Amino acid sequence: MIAPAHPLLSVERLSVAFGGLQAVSNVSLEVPSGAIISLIGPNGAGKTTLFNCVTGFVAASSGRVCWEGTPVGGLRPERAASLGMARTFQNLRLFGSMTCAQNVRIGTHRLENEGLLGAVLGGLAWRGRRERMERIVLEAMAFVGLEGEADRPATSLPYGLQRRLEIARALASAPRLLLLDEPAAGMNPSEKRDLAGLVRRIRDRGVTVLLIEHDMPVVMDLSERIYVLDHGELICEGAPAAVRSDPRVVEAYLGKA
Amino acid sequence: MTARNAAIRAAGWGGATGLLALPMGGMAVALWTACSAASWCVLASVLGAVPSPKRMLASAVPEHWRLTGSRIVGSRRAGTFAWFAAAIGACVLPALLGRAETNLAADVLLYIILALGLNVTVGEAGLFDLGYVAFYAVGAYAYAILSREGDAIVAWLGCASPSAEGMLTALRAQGIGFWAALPVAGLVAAAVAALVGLPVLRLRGDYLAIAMLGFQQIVQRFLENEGALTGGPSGIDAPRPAFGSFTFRTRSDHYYLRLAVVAILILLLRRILSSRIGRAWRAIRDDELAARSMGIDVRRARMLAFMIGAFCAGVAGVLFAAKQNRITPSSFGWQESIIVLSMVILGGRRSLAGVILGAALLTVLPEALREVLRGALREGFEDYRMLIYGALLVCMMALRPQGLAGRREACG
Repeated sequence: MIAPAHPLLSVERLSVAFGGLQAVSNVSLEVPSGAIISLIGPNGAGKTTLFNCVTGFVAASSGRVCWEGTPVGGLRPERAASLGMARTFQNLRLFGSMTCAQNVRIGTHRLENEGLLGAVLGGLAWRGRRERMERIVLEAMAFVGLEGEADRPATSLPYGLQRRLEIARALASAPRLLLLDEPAAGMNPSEKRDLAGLVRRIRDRGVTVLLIEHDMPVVMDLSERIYVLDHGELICEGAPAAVRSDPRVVEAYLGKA
Repeated sequence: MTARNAAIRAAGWGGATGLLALPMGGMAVALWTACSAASWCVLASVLGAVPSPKRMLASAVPEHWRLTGSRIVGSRRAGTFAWFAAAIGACVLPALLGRAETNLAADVLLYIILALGLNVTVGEAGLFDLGYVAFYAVGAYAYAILSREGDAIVAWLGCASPSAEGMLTALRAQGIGFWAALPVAGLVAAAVAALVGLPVLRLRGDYLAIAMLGFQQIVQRFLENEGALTGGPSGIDAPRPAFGSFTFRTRSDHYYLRLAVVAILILLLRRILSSRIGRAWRAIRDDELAARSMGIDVRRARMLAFMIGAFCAGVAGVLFAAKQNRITPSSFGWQESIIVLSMVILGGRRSLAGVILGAALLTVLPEALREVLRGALREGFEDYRMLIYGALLVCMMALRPQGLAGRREACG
């Protein structure tokens, strides 16, 4: 197999500043297609800010983000979604007034192009497309293990399942890159194992995964490559085994001896 | 919420409205209130209280249809029948009413169109629009100007271009005609909304409200002062609509004309609300950031809601002008915006039935109070009707802040 010429996503010397605070400084990373890449680091290291920048929620102060080798400037969230990025949020952001299935249905928004005229005129094509979309919704829910919960109010799910629902919503948009922000937070060990299995199955479906996670066993188990951030700077990158034994990483997490 | 709950609630409102109407002495006005509000409620209660059709439907539809829940399958069927019943009730109404009441009923229908439009802007997209009546004015004047004043347009534009001249000569000879003007004036209002919306929709909440209030003032001053085009403060004539050799003259003619427009509008709005666009509005209300990350273009969705609202107002303007025959800028004061906004809020945002109820109630109530209060305590007591009207509004909002049929945004 010939390796693609460009990584799916690459971040080049990216910096994000909020006023005087340098949240991310001069970070470069590459996410090759079909990989599971992790971003770790202590609290406040700038991981989520980097995520927000890649998905267009905050603007970079310098550096750039490239999608398949092409720089995407002035990125906005809806543009990131149309490129094929989907994300979950550290603090769940489900649509509170909707059922589980309705939440996932919003994920299919970008797959449709129905405008005002289509909505008003309707017709047979419309019915066929609706059925196709609803099949995608059910399939995504079954994939994360939420079959049978379609009509349940989303916020009535237990916390762990709400995280899975958010993943299902992201998957329903048929993304090429899935960005997961601390998906294992607040889960017990067996839920974490299930989640790791789910992430692996997502990758096996051909969706590239970029993961922020605190839980070391999960990260070490899943990742092909790990990037370590501390105080907004990249302090280490490499394969799990190398990162684990790197003295700078140990120092960042445990403090200097 | 189950279909049964919805039905019980609907029946409650139907009953309450009926009870309210009874002491009014069987007046035609009371009949109108009761008919318009209760007919759909009663049928909903009958259909919704029977659990078996719902279950039958749920088992009959394929798995993927049940995504949104058997709840919705059941109540939507009941809802369709209720709308149907309301339509029949509205069709026979003028036969039961006198001249003045038919006139009032026609006003109710006009306000229903306005309120349905503003509900999209305020209720669905959360855009606090206090200058809504400006689009109403644009629609009314667009009809009047396009129908009669081809000369005036030429003179006003001062255009010498032969093609435009030729086009306008044809227009002058014929006028655009009512049936073409109905959608065209709506589109003109929507186009104006797009132009205003570009700068104004960057604002949110109270800032937007003030900006739109300013826009309404600009439009009204323009109509008053640009006499060559608009006829100035004394107004402009608008022709009666005609269909072949039939001319819409009487109050009930206009009533049925408006009723048809209301019916079409409700059908269109129901489609839009259950489409991708309606889902996007709902997602934005729930969580704007999550909606954007799912690829929803928030600015575009808001602009669309703003334009759909303006379109409805423009259509209402044409219907208003067609019945009045002469329109003046004074009909389009900011007070009208407040009244329509009250209808939407009091009836219940995001509920088509609620908005309709709100429009009917707020239009009928001042007239009904006049009848009820006539000679009630002493001679001339009906002069206090607006005071009582205001007090009733305060009470209703205090007791039901989400509106009469309003939904708190929660599922289940």
